[in-house]
Amino acid sequence: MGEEFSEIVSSEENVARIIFSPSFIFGGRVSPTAFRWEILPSGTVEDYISVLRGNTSKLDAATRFFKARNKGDSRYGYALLNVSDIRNIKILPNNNVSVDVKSYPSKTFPFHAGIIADIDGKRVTAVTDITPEIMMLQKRLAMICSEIVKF
Amino acid sequence: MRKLVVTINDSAVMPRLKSAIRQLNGVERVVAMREVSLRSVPKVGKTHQIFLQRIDSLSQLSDGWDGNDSKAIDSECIKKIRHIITKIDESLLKGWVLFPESHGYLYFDYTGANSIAGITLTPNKMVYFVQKGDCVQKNDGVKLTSANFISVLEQVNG
Repeated sequence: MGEEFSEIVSSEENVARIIFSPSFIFGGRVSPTAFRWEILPSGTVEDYISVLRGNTSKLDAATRFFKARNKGDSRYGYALLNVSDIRNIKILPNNNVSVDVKSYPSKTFPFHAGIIADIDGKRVTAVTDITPEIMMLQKRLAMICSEIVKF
Repeated sequence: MRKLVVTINDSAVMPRLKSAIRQLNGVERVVAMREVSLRSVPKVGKTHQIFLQRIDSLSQLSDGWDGNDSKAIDSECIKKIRHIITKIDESLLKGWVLFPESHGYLYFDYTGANSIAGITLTPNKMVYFVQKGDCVQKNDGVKLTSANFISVLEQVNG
């Protein structure tokens, strides 16, 4: 892709969450459950929600090569979120959830980043049990999507 | 044999009424029954149908539907929610949308003018939050029953 990305993700940036399954879009809404922590095929337990950095044209170029995850399934697109909006998420009643976006570049995806969340000081991972706080965070992420871009 | 149905609106009348009927010739037996309100069993309406179709659609997802670690929706979840949905008054379903969840669960999502809510349904329990303004109700594990599910919907619309 050739673009240099700063190690620190600026609050001015947008990030994109790839929506692979069309079932995550219904009734004009994106599902809160689309914002999830995954266990990778390697067995790695993610402690962030995977996103991509870059403007729409860069994302279009990059995501063009993404394949559907399921045979016979179609790829849907990606949801755009502003980093400042993510960092400003507040979860009532205690606001015991802190949210940040950090850079996790790889050779293949130098523009890869992750949304990290700590609840009561403990990092949420793909093996953390579902709690109301996690659901509220996912709902907030779904609500701050500024745009759903179809592939 | 023929049956006679008598509807009363004051239970205090019952003993005298039963006694009087029993004294008549040709009466075999007298049985007291509570009336089942037809209004408490909603008809399967258009909104129910939309949810049932959505449940059927999500039940088709197979393992791996959203990456390696995602599971097909649990059949017990599907069975229970199909049963529960048709018991709910359609007005309570307004604003709710159903989504899949990668552990094989179902997720009910609500967005209203001044409120949001979510219910994760596992085969045995439900985890939920209801936020109305600054007021939050939440529970990280209550048994999945029709009554408990309807109670959460009523918290949203109440």
